[in-house]
Amino acid sequence: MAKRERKSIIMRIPKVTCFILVVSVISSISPEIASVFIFDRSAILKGEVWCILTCHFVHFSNLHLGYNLLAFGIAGWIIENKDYRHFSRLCILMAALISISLFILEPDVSYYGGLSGMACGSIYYCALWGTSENRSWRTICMLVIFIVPIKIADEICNSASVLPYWGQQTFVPMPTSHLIGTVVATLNYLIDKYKQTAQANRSTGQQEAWRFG
Amino acid sequence: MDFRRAFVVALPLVAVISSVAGCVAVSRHHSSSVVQYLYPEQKEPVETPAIPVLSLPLKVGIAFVPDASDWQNNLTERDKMDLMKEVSAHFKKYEFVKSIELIPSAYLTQNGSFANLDQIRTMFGIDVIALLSYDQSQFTDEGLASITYWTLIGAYIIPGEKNDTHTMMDAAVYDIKSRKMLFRAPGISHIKSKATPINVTEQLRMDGLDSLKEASQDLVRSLDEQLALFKEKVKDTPQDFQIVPRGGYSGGGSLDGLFIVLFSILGGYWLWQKGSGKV
Repeated sequence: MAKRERKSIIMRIPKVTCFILVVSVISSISPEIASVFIFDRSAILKGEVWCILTCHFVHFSNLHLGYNLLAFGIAGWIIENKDYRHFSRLCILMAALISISLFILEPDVSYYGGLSGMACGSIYYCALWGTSENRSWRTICMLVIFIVPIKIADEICNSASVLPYWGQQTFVPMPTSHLIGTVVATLNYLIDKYKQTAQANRSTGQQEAWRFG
Repeated sequence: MDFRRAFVVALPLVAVISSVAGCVAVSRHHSSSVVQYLYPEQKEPVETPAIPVLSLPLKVGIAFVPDASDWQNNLTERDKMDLMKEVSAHFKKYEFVKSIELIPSAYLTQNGSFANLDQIRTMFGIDVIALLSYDQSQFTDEGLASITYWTLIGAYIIPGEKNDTHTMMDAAVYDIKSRKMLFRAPGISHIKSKATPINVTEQLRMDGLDSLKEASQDLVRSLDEQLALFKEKVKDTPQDFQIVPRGGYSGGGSLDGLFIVLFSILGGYWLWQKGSGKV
């Protein structure tokens, strides 16, 4: 009995989320690891392509790290506990596509780091799956689905988002990463939902064929 | 005999009266004007400022506005550079400042206006310039101790000249391209001193410099306040200022307070539902 309970607790630990949080903390503690992981445009051009995936673990200050870990921790924890599909695939896709998009769309960015794009995408993914759940949870998820795009649009359109750079942060916030994270999450959700619906239709068709045939 | 006695009694009295009556207040005035430099021979400024586009981090220049009159100017180029260094040392601590150029006076022409600033922008590669101007008035009055000047030796050793030096220094920070003044900060100083008639001009020169240094320190303090107000202004009226990052910067994926609140609501609600067994 005790063994089964222990197994259930282990099963509930959000493994992907914990892995990302731990690696983020380690790369923040060790500057050597951070320098290998960080998105460095010139290094990528020289062939250090792993930065495309690893740059999201690197953070520029303790506050930057704390905020992003909190946000990603909440999103990842809910997703993994609710067994929403393909979270690890989503993380890899978001990490790669956010970095590639920044590389193409923001040519002035020499260095990039931070988990917020993935956190934004994860929370949006969680909210999208939440729309097919019970009513109160669905309401909260709809609220997130409604607010996040408005917030991202405001960040992109309003130059005020650059202002925290003044005297507080040593980097320029990149709302583009939030946008890409959210778009990747939406596409991932739509593909999964389409597959799920197609599978459901197929199984319903098989059942009906079996019943009438 | 009576005449001699009367002379002995009257002489000091005449001396006192003449020395007191002879108190002459001498004044000197030095100044430079930003308005005269930027808008010469114009009764009304006709430059229409555009919306400033500030590329962060900024390249800042610091320069003294050319003096209104060249005569009796006690502020040398070296003094100006020293004062500019003091102000620039203060600017350097801000992360939004990339570099600071001290512009020597030789590069600023009398009544140069924005055409001159455009030349400086090209030569030094700066975006924003802090134009330093000053207004200094010095007054010299003779005090009661000046009575000792009658002894001749007193004029050498008794400081009977009372000097007052009032200085106002002003930094007007302009975005050169848009011709818009971003903010200004004043610094004031009042110095009193005494001198003998022999070294009064030297003392006045020293007072003038000390007063400018004191005013520049006050200016640096008010620059802090004005910068804080300017940041608020930029945040409150984003339509009046455009902030763009300069190339080659570090970008960070970071979340602000609203995102954290949103994430926390979602996480908190899920925890509450889980606790109450609804999920």
